[in-house]
Amino acid sequence: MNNYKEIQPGSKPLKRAYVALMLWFVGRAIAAAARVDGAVKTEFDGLPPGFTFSLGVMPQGPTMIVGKDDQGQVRYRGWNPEGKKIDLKMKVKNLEGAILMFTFQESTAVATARNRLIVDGEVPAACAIVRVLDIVEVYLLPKLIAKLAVKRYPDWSFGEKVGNRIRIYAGAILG
Amino acid sequence: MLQKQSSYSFYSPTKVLSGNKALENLPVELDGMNAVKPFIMTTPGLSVRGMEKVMAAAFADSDLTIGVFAGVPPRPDLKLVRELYGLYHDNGYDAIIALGGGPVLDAAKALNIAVSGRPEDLESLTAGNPLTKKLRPLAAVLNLDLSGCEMTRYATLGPLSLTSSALIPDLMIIDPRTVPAEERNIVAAAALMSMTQAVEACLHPSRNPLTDAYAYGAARFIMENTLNVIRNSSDRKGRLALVNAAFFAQTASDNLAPGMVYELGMAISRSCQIKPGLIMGLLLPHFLLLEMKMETTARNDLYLFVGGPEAFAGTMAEVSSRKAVDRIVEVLLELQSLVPDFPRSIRDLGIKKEDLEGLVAPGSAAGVKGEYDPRDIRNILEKAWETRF
Repeated sequence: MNNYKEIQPGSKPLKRAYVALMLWFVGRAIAAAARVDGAVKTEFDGLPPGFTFSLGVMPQGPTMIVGKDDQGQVRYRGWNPEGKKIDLKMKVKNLEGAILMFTFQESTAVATARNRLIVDGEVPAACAIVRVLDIVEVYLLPKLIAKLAVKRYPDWSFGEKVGNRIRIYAGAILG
Repeated sequence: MLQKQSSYSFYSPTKVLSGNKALENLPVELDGMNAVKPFIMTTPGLSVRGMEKVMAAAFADSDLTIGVFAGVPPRPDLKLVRELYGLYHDNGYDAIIALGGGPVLDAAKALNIAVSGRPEDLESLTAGNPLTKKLRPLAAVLNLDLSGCEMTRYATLGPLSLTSSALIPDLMIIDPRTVPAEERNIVAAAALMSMTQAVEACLHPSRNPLTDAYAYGAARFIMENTLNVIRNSSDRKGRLALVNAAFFAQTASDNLAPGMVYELGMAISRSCQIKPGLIMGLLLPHFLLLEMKMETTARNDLYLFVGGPEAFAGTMAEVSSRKAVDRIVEVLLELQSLVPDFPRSIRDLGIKKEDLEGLVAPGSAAGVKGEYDPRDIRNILEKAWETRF
């Protein structure tokens, strides 16, 4: 029949690689921030022992997994959810939505409001993780960009912010 | 006053996803409807404008295979649906995505009936037998070239008129990339058609709180965005608002009954090559003036819908309805100054005064389908014929 064709849509390897890199770095930064920042530590303290969450992109990743170990320490637990008991799964519905989030065109709160995320798990835990992500983004990003990425930019002292930022960057890179 | 009745029904099964990158949600939404191989239908014109590629890109990284048929004609018929039926079944498709309004949705709804049961179900439905099988998922990706019944229970396929609430699409995507800038007369026609549906829903005797809410949303979006979109073709948010308005207006109208002005606009457009929305724009002020005289259906807050809350709050109740008519006429005049070849009167369409009687006669082929008082129809038509805006 004229005007008919079957299409096998391609892939977006560069965007996928960018999101994978961001998830890897943010995952490690969350673990570092839980050691450095009181608010992040408090959020994780409120979650049950062994709590593990994943943030990924549908339908086939990339994904980051972060969880508390037996001692209550927050650890980045890699990208592969197979074999891991995950209490909270946060999935961005598609790669383009993840790109909007990780290029900071949309904050996590706005992305949630625009129905870009699917949450499988307890809502209070998801809210805690969104708050943690907001704090981590403030540390990782320059103020100009972070203001786009978070709901409300916190009023921290310059010394506190820079000191913690250095420690979180070091923790994320060096582990 | 908004209606306070508590006994009413309202039906809208459509999930709406509107905004930036909304199209990329299609794979996950289809997955939620147990569909993994969608069949996309569109027109050759939209395909040439690159919409087909935009759709394909939205499915990138999804692992889904899509079929694209870019040959929907302006008047799809049963022969086309039979051909597409074979294509759909032979290639194992399990959902339909209609990319574009008007004939694309008509063909998609008809195809959905055929592939969810048998092609004979189309004639059966036309004969008044209800559909017995649940239809496959149908998603609509609309632009501004609208027929007014895309998101409703109605579809037309050649001589067949199909009516079933099962035909209403399950999903509607409104994405800036698939709502391109259109010619001014197309935008004006879409806006005036939606405005007509909204206003008629707002004045309908069976209106209810939900039809009011939908009609209000439609009217506000249209009044706030139409002129901007026509003056500034790069107003992407405005274009999205107008497609949203079309959905609101169609849903409100679909839960009541098509109004007299809508029916007349459709009937007149069948005899000339003018978009029905432009004709409805010429008829609407006369309908409103007639409505103002009828105590049974009149409401004193039409200006809230048309003028917005601030203008409404600052207007004396006695002149509020008249202000609503004046505001609609103002917009109509402005549209006529902006849109080339916008008729000033239905007389400009080549309609003779004696032809009007054919539209008035109840049950006539050329006339309206609904049951209206012929005197009201005659009154509106004669005034619209005599008046040049």
